[in-house]
Amino acid sequence: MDQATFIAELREIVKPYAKNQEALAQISLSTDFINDLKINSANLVDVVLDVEEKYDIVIQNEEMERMLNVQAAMDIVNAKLQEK
Amino acid sequence: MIGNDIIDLHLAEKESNICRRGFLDKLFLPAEQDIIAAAAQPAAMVWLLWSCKEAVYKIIHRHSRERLYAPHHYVCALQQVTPTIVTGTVMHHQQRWYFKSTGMGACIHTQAAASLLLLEQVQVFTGYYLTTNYTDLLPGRVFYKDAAGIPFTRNRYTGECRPVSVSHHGKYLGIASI
Repeated sequence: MDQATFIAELREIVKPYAKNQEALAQISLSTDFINDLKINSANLVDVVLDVEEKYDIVIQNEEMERMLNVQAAMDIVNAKLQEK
Repeated sequence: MIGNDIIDLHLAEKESNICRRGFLDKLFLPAEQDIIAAAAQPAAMVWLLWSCKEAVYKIIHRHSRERLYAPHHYVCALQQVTPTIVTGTVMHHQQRWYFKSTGMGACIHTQAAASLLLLEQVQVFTGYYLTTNYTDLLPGRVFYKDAAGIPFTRNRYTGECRPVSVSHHGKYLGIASI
């Protein structure tokens, strides 16, 4: 999946949880879910679950550990989609 | 080696659907889910256990500076449960941490430390709807964060610095210091 498509889809996923809407408007590969978007740590699991549902994949705990920013999320999703 | 975490239960209820499929599995180990299921107030127990993991994560992060979203690495066990105070331990890899959680209004405030003795020495401040400017709440001290975002306080007169743990959620604010 190309970068622009993924970022656009991820923006919709994180929208309900992002407390910093300005950072959401500027979302890029380097955007950090907690530090930039101000998503609370309990809602980060909702982002993981939403991503799982959207792409019909299962994210293991070891993969979730690093899923703190857009780049990491894209790497995980792309790797999972290639496994299919 | 202290950490704290505060949770506004009203806000948590709005922000998270704890009944959502997969939610508890991703955050809690099977034994922790058993504690939640057996609790008189399961939703409050979810947030209590989560605050324990967060309080210990803050200690670990202060020292390792490594950010990891790994709730399964923090294994909670309860020791004493009363209507107002819950105590217990959190195992992180081979290290045991001790916690104490208190309820005040609609919030849960948890402090964690490396030993029971240290936990007893923690100065705890739990605030409701005050300011998020921590300096205003620390007489004679100035609150600051270092370049990595780790919080400290400095004595306004002597310049002496101490680590501090701060937490803010919804209408509640918590500070733990030695």
